[in-house]
Amino acid sequence: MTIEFIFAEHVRRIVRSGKKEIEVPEGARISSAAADLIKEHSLQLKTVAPASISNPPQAAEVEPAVSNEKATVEKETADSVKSADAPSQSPVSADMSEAEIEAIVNRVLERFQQLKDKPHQKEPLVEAVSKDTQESQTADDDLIICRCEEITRGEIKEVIRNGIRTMNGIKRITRAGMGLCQGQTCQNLVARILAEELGLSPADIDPTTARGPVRPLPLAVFANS
Amino acid sequence: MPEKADVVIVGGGVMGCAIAYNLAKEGLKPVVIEKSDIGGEASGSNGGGVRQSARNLKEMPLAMESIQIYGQLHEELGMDVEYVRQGNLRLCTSDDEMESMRQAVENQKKVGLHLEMLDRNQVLEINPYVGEKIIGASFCPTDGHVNPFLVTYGFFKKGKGLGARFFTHETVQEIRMQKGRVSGVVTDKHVFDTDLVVDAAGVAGRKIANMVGLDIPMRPIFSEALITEAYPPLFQQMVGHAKGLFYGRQTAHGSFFWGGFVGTEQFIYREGKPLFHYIGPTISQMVIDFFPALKEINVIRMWSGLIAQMSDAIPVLGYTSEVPGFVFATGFSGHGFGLAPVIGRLISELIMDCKTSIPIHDFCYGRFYKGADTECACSGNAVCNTMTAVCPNKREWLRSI
Repeated sequence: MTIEFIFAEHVRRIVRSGKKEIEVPEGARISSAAADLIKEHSLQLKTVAPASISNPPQAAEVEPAVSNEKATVEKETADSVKSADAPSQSPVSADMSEAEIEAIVNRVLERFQQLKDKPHQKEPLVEAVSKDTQESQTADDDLIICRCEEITRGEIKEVIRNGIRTMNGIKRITRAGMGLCQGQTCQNLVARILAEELGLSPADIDPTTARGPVRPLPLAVFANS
Repeated sequence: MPEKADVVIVGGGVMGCAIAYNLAKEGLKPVVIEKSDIGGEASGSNGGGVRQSARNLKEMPLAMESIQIYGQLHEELGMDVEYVRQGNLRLCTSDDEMESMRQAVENQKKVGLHLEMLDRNQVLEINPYVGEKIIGASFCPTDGHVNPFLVTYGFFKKGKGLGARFFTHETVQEIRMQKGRVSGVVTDKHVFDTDLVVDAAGVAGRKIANMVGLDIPMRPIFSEALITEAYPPLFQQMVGHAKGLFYGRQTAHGSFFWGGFVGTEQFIYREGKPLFHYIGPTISQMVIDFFPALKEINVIRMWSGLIAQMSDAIPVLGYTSEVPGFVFATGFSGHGFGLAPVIGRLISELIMDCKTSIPIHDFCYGRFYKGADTECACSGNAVCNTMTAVCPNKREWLRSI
């Protein structure tokens, strides 16, 4: 599978693995969050042919125990997904004995119990960025955040720096989120920019007011509703 | 420790921002308190109409001056505010409507406004998209429309650059009084020492007036609008129904704005927004009746706002003798946006010079003493006595008596 878009999560894995270099397939795009992380950790960009990209390192030795466990879970999930695609390799097949099936069920239950006993750790969707890293983030102000209305990150940052502090306010002045999709694509990105600028967590940002109709509706249809 | 402020403006909508900008231009350092974001209430939810036609005749001199200011506002604010001056069509569908419109046009001509009655064919020349129901319209060529969000933001940005201070997400909790006059403003985050408070709080203007023991006959009215997807430019006029049942325009962006009224908008809880599901479909039906060509266009967003409706549908402006230092600039009754630039200038003149270049005594608080719809109790001079007598600049004079 060719990777066409580099997301922040991918960059975080690279950072965790201790590498100082990130492979970017030719023609791939880098998300703004990913670009920020690359800049923050001064990773070297290495352009490679689309096919030769290696999978990001998973379950690396340097990671602490908790992450390791999580990585294992991810791996197991990945395995089970794979086996679902290929029924012939399914762990449960018709000619298995009852004891074998029971063993598998017990293993699953045991694993389930382990996960249940583990204290729940909710990771923030996007990491809050501290004030001092903000200065380094001017590079991709030309990046389009709202695709419907073609509003750039720079335009959004400008109104925030002028004193607008809400998602609704940004929407009214820049038009980000006013297009056909009504912000379904860009709202989280705008929230992240606002959070960065204010030094808050994106969880503290109130979303824009939800506006009906949920999707575009012709006047003639709406009139008869 | 209280901060010192030349003047505290309550409300960061287009009025508050315009007043702050004009005062800052005169060298004052006004403070603006806004409970949500700049332009977060009515200034962030209105049609952006800049019209003179179909106004209360008392407002006409203000509206005419406002048109002049809007004409060069992009230069003054240093940004495009999408102002379009291509006229306003008030469409009639019956002989009754034509007759009352003819009467209104005559009255408006008497106060110097240039507008005319058009028959169906003349309307079609200006706007070929009107439906078969339309039999005529009034047309005022100097009316137009503007992007209300950008105007508000423009005044805010420019005012801030000139030294006005804006405190958003802050609520006024108390207006302090000393010896019967304004002495300070307490918010949930700051305390300001000031002898001047401007009530530009729109629909909350009554609540602010209540803080100094005044009251005005105002109530909130709900208003809803819908926005369509963008279309190639069809027409540039502001359009509306003769009786104001619906109104709309095509924005610079290409999307259409349509607002309208169904008659139940005044039956709401105090400052709460109702769930009248029939308003959107009703507006849609009116748009289709008036502009059948638009029936397939997609509605993508709806929003609503609250109108600060006065009993006589005109604002309250200026000082009052009852509470020296308290300045009204509220109650615009749903047609204030078009006046914003001139209100900003006039309130600033009133504060700086104790007089205004356009008389505003028709709008003074004193008018309610004789009941609604009667002449103001003041002498009727260019500047209302009840206003100037209590201007803080005349404080020395007041102390001497």
